Amino acid sequence: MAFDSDLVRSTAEPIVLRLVSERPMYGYEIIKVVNERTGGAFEWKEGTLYPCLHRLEGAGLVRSQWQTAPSGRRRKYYGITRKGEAVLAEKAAEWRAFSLAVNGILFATAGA
Amino acid sequence: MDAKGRIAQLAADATAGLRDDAELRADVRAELASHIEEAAAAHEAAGRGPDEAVELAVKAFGPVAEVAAGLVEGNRRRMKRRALARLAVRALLVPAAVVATLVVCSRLVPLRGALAAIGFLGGGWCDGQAWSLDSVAPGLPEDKAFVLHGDAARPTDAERQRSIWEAQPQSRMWFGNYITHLVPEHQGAGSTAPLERVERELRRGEQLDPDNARYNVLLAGLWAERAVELQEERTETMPDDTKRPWHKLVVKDRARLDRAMAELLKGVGKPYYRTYSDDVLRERLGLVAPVRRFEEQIARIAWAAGILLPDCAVQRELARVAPLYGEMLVAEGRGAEGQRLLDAWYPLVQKYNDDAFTLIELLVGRAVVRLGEQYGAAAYERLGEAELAERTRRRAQRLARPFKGYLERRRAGASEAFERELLRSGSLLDGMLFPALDPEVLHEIDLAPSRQLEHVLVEQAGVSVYLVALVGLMALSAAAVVRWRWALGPSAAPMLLLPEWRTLARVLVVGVLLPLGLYYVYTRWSGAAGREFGLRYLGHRLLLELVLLGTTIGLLARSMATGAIRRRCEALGVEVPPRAARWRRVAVWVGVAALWGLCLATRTDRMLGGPWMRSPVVWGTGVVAAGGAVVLAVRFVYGRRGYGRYCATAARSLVPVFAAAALVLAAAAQPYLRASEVRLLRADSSLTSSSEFISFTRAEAMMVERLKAAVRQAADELAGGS
Repeated sequence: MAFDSDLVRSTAEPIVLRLVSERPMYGYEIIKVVNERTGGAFEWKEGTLYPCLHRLEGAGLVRSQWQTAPSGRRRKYYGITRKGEAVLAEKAAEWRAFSLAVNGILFATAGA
Repeated sequence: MDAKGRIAQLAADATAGLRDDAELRADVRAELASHIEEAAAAHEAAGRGPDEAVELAVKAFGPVAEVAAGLVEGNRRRMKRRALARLAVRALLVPAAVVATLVVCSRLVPLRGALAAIGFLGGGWCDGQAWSLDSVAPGLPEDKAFVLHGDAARPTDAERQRSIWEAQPQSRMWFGNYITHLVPEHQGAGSTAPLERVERELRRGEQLDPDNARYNVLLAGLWAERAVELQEERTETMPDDTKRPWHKLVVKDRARLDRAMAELLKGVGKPYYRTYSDDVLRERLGLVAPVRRFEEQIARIAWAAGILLPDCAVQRELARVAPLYGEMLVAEGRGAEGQRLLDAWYPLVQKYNDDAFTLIELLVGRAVVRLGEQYGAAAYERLGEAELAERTRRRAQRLARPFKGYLERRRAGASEAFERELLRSGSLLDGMLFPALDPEVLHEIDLAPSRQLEHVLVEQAGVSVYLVALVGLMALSAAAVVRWRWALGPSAAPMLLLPEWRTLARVLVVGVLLPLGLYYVYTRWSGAAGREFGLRYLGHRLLLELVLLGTTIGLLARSMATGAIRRRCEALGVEVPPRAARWRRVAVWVGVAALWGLCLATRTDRMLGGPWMRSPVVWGTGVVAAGGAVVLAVRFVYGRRGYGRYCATAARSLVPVFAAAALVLAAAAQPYLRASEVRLLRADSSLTSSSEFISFTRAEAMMVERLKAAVRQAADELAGGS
């Protein structure tokens, strides 16, 4: 099922913040994890992820660092900042309230 | 195109919108390339062939235009901020560092003047030069500047001083000051003031200040100079091994001599002798602000040292002529008049004493006493007046007694011992200005402030040199950038890597502030830096310490900054040269540590100077060090072949680091050193004369006041006893 692009874009930032709050991740890894955790429902492309990551970095919500993997390949890892943690908590609460409200209408039994 | 090239091309196309920010574009390009390589590797791991794996990864990447547009949008805010930061580096940081360097170095310009003044002081006290107070009081209002210099349009110094009196025609002080400048112009070679004019002006002074003996004494001296010749008869060796010449009077113009001696006796009868030089100095020093800079202190001392004392020579000459002439008169039967001249030295010397404000004047006064005793007592002996001869001796010995202790201490070597102590623990100025003073007075003086002040001034010069070196490194960096741009063309333009604030802070704190802090603790608190010695003993070590501090800061800051730039270049895919062998890096730091050890081991209780300063080893080391610096500079600009992009990027990116280091250095060190300078000048209790302590130096003023009081007391006792 293909999701509406506005919906995808508006949820991308909280999702990225959530993932890099668990542990520092690099771009390819984030895409892989998103695809895994959504059971393939989200098929993020580089065009979605990197602008989002850079926006977050520009806003000071994530911090990046180049590291060399054991394979010798250089990867840019992103980790969450304190400011990013605060924004993540806020966004998560907002999403919870928003989805409850939307679910309450969309999936309510008629007359209940 | 091979797989790697294809990935690089894709990443380059996707980041085309970021071309205005070369570093950001390189960073994103490297990140995208890494991503595609990861994806291709995953496909390969799943069993695809290398080409197919890359093909699939590129396909999964999506439309390049879409990614490019997303990246521009995602990085817009960052690019704006970074563009501002680059502008700040170019338009603010670098110019601010250059301005800070100029401001700090501008401090050296007046210091050069101060060094010239020290040379003047070292050259002698009374060589007739008058030091200008301009450097102490720049921009004084016209009326105050007039009090310092007089009418600058007038041709001679005496005329300029006269203009001040003309503005205040009732002022005895300014007239006296004019005479102080007029008499030397008459006496000097190529005299510009004929005797008639001087006579006229001295008469004018007598009318203006009728109770002042000075004008009569000066007239007597000028006339006697023309009327007689003093010929040395013999030299007597005194019990203390000093030589005492005896003169005889050869009269050339008896009429003029009679007039001169009559004039002298007129002066003897007047209540006081005043040159007003102390009042003039007090008045002029009162015009200038309290001393806040070393050069102001020097200018004050040099200016005071340049004050003319033309009366001294006249007083000394008359002390010989008057008793010889008096004896002549007695022999001619003019006993009463002759006796007045034989005794003239006694009232005159008391008047001279009250007017004196320098040690020279007091010592001339003492010489007058000795001459009075020598010629007066001998004349009375020859005339058969043993009682009067005895009275003359008694008076002279009592009036000379206050000087006895001082002169004996000097003769006994106490002064030499103190002079050595002055050279060890005092400042250069102390060593120049105090050896003639009484060690007893000097023992009461704290030499630390003036000594520490000179250390601080050398450190200020050191900071200036560091800043110039940092600006020089910025210039070398710019030269390296130009060299590589020219060699590689615009396609390989060097990037300006903006240092992350944490990295920059680390470089500045560890590379600049930490060495400064350690130097501060070492020199001010450790007790190991030999700061109890003056520059004559400590100078070479202080110089070595400053060279080492500069080297430590330069090496530390540069190696930390270069390390960060190197890592960044590696991340951005810029090819970097292999690091220097570890042993070489370690050897550099071991060398620096060894030199610090050498510094600590350097003896500070030996005086700087001597043949070793001119030894080929010292000069050879200097030449090798200078040659080494030139080689390093050339290597820095030339860089390493094959790594041009890295060399140019490193050079360009070091510029903001050097600029920030210069600013931090200037902001951290210079205000402290300036505040120390002001504090130490305030704490100085020996050098700077003030309106309360009028003399060449404050220490001299203290000594002069004591001697004057002692002579006054002796005169009072004699008056009470007779």
